[in-house]
Amino acid sequence: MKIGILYPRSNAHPGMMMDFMDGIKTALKQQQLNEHIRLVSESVGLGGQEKEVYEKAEKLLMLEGVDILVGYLDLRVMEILKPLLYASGKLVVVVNPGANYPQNWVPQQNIINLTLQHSFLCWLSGKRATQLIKTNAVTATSFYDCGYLHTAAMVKGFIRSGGEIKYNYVNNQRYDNTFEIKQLTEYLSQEKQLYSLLCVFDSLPASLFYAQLNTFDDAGSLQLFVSPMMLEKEALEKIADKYQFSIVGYIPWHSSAENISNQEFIESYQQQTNRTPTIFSLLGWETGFILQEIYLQNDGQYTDGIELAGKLAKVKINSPRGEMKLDPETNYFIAPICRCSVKSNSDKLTVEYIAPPEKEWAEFVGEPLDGVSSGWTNTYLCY
Amino acid sequence: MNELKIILLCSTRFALPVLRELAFFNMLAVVAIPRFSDELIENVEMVLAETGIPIIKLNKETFAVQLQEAIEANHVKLGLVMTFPYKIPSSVYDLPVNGFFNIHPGPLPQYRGADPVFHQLKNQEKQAGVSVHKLDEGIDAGPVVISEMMRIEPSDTYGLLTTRLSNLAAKLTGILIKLVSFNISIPSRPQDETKARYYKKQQAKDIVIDWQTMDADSIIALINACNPWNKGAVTKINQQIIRLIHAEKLPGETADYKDPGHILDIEDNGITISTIRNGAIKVIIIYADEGFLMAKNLKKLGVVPGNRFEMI
Repeated sequence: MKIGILYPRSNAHPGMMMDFMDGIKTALKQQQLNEHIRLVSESVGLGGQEKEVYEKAEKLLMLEGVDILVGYLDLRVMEILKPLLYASGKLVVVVNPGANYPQNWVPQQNIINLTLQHSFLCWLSGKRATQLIKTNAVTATSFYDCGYLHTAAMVKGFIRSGGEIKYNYVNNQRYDNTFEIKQLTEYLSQEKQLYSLLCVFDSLPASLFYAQLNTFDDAGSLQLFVSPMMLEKEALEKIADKYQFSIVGYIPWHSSAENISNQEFIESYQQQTNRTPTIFSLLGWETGFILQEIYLQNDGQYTDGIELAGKLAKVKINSPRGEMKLDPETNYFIAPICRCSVKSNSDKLTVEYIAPPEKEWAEFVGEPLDGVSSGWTNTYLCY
Repeated sequence: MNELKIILLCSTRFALPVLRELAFFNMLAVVAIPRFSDELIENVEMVLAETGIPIIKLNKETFAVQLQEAIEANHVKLGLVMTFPYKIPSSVYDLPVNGFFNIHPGPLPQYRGADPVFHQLKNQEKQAGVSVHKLDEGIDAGPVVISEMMRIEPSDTYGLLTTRLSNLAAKLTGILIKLVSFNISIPSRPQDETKARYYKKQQAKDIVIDWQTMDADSIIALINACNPWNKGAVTKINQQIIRLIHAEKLPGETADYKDPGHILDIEDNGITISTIRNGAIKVIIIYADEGFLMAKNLKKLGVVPGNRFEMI
């Protein structure tokens, strides 16, 4: 079986692609399939140039004759590939962290999506904020982060559950020692109310944001509901003191998960790469297991992508996140998630493992679309 | 991109979002509309006011020649068709250097024909779609470039679904135009003829409620499929023809329901009518010779509980 892989690079996460590719290779080797499944890869730069992405995809499908295409691509760039993928009829696995979500959830049937469910997890955080009493909130994000729909998802989850946004703060500063959040803290000082903060930052700006907010006089009265990257180790480890505020959010996976697949993943990855696995390694590892399933099920017949997707929808993939399955209504994989929290005046992250929230997922994808989308879009694969 | 000059052939408002986008991005060279589509012509004239973009009013007998002249005079490089009533000959669709594409408001090959929006709703499909295909000598039969489906919402009427599909059509047209700008051979896939179905333009029999055979879901689907273009699905009571425009299915079953078509109740918020299989619907808005009315106003026309709707 010949697999074509489109991979981008990321300025925000330079190790992203190596982690992803090593994740696939490790999974295939662990299953002793690296001799049977051949990988052919093409770089697509930062992943935002549609023509370049199109030409690379065409090359893999037409010249290399790959059986399956794996594209680590943003959804907006994927749109331009759809005619080519439709014409090819082959199975396409779109991989990304899921910071964007489609305007229309009805899938092109030969395209399946493996993500870290970031938009959905942000939506859950927004809902959670209303469940924990405070119904007024301030949003805090960065210029780059609000170019993805995960910010909209968090706000949507919050508002649809009865919340009200009082103030929107968008930071546009450099991520270095000049980073400050004075405008936000001035607003919070003037209002003198107890606010929830709905926060969406990548891990590096998140660490800077936490550090600044921790010095705010009234930090102890704030409750933060955060995006998944704000709960990554890189975001949390840089603060020297205890957090004055509390933090609540969801992540797709935590390395402490006590299931066999997770143990195999961490051990195999460390053994073969001498590195600690990341969320990008996880996506690669899961891609490897999806490819294994296709290889074992189909006895050399890979031309009908719709049929392959249909078969995948009937099996469960043992992921380090837990049992993962393909939702046939959307062609997105859904998996168990983790709810995380840090209590105020603490530095301890508590992780609670939750079964795949199928009811909430159905609610998320079933929300009517408003038909209006932001003009500012970010297609870089930082997420 | 601005050098790509496009001709748009259309006859319904399904084309309006595409038309607006093409005009905004300065790609629309000329619009061609059958002369009989008065309302659309008026609408397009308003949208294109002061743009200088010509609108050609086509005659059935001479449309091919008119189109050839318009394509040559306006240096058209790409042709788009959106709900067009005449079969376009190869002498027209072969002219633009980048070809001619039909943007069809239905999935292909399952919903070929003039009005797939009506038939998708009437058939109670869960999803409706838009397909972009290359024009060839068949009707809606050319190779498909891209097709996308969307959910049909329970509240979708013909009018609402058309609007949503027209926005989807604008998105797919944008993808097509980008591909054309890449200067590549546009990828496409031949239609599977074994799955092909052609739906004729709906006839009088297609818009009439048959109370003896149609269940509550079928009746609601037909009512939605006829709203607003036919002012509702057609039925008869006390020798008067009326059209049901807006109705809801009532949940559950009840043994009290009589034969299908009977009025069980007339209340301020609508009239309850029995359907086959112990079902019922609540009709909220109707159209009669007297105008658009809340259904309760049927009382003023002498209709009382126990009266029975019939097929015309």
